[in-house]
Amino acid sequence: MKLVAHLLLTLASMLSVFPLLRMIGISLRTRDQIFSTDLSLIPQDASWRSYAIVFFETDLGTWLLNSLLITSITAVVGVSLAATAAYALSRYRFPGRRGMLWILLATQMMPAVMLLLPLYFLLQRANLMNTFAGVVIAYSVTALPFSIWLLKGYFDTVPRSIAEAAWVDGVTEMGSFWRVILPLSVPSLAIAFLFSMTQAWNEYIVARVILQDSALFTWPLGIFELQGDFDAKWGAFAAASVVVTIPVMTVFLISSRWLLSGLTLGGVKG
Amino acid sequence: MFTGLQQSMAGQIVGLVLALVIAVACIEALAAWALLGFQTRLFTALNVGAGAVLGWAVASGWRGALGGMLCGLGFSWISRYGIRGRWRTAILFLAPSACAVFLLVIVPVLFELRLAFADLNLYTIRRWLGGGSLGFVGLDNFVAVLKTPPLQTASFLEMLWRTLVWTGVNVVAHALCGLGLALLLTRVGAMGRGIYRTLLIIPWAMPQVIAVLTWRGEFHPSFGYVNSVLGALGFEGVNWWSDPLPVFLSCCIVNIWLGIPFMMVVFLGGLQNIPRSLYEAASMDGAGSWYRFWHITLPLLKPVALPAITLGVIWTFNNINVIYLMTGQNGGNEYADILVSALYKSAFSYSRYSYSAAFAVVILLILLGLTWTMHRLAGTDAQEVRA
Repeated sequence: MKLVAHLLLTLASMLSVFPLLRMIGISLRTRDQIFSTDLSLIPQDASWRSYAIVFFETDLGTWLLNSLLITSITAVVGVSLAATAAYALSRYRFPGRRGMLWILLATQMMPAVMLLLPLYFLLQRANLMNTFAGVVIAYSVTALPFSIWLLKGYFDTVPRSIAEAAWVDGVTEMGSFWRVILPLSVPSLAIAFLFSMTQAWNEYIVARVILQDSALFTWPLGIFELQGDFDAKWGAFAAASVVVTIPVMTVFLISSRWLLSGLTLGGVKG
Repeated sequence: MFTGLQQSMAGQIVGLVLALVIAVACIEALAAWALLGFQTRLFTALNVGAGAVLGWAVASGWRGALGGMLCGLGFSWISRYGIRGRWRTAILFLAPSACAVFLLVIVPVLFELRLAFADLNLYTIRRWLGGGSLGFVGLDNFVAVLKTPPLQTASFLEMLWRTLVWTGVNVVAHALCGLGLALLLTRVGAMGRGIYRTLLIIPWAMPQVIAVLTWRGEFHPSFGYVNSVLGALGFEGVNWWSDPLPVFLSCCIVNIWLGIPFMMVVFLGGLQNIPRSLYEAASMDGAGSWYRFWHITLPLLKPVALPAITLGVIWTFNNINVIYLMTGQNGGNEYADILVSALYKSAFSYSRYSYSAAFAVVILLILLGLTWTMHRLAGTDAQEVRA
């Protein structure tokens, strides 16, 4: 029984790792081997040439910087706006609260594409097409409601008595939020921040519509260009993919347990 | 060109700010007068009406009017509750996000509705951008969505059917494989579990764009790994990039591969929370392993599984990344397109703007119906568990 479990798990693990290994294998091929149908994962005369091409002949560095800039602005704006709103929605039973929660939930359900068309025209009217600001605005459409929802789930679990104890001690309502609640919730703020960041970091569909200038590309747009139609750049695509994937994956795997607890916190309690 | 862009943007912002300042000042004067003893509702109505008129006059358009109305509404709200003091903190905390959500979500939704009744396409867009009107064509766009193919050949109903098949196949496969792997993971020792778990979670950890594009390469008819393996086994290669069924199948395979880790992690968490003592008690009473799975594991997994599956259905229904990246490039095809990806292509590849807006509204209604049904089903299930 245990042997069967190990066998099945090994098989599944091989399937799940396969594209990653393949990608590394292709990135190490020499130019004339790109279209080889050889099935071995590491090619015989491996070369670092594709990596040299990626670093010296493409704009991967610029694309990564663009992505980093857009992503961190989105996450910072999203989380800082969301923190106070989520607290208000969690603590106070004011008129209109249910309506707001409903709007937030509906936004999460809507595909990003649905709002992309009107946003496309509104951004065009405001002359924000092909700018970072435009992308940040488009990303905030999903990032902000998501962060509010996630943080509200967390604030719901903070006992009321903590804030009330601070009021008794003579701190104002606002003061108790800034000085007591917020420091307590640093871990969940970090989770919301990381989630908004990963979502924006891996986004392709929206950025493709808003950014046209290749100097402003985020890395998914740039890598898509490299991939093209399976031409000679395939090796460069693989190398760039390895360069992008390894750090992202490491961060994800290290923080996964912690991140996942946050996901269930927002999702189940919400 | 660049300076011109900046100038016009600055001009717009200055205009907008001026309009807002004037609107707020006027409303404030009105409010101060109205507060002297008017009923709250009348007060709000006055504010909203004044806001609409002012907004319309200043920004000359329905968007200005709408903004003005909202300023009026917000102002009456703040002044009412702000003065009473009870919700003061809540309103101050909410105001920035509420404004942002209004601008980012509500305004686009309303504009989308307007577009759905307009006549905007590749030919009329110039007229509109040049300051012309959007036009009004009634329900024509909605009729067109139901009657003409959203892309080139597949009709709306075919696409709806394909979307449902796509959602069903993917979610069922995700849930079954996820559950299977989670159960297997509980069978092996702690160290093995850690290693397998890390390896199995990789499809989730990899950036999706890269994972999908790599898979697309592996499905290349002559150079891809899949056909090479098939060839080595003596089968004929499959035309994964251009035959209708293989294109759809390859998209399904990639998406299933991508989605299993999420379900696995959720189910593993659920399994680890089931108390051991329940199983021990059941064994003492002579329950077999199948009985224990059916009467202990599954019912206790339900509270974890239902939200995850609901989320999975929404995500899969809305999944555009996989399909667009697999089929949306030069020489691409529409054999795998579901409603949402067809919406993206019809808006941004075919430039049928008003048509797409109506299409989006129709899709949203379908999605609402779907989630409502699932909510009802899940609700009754949850009651069964409690009983």
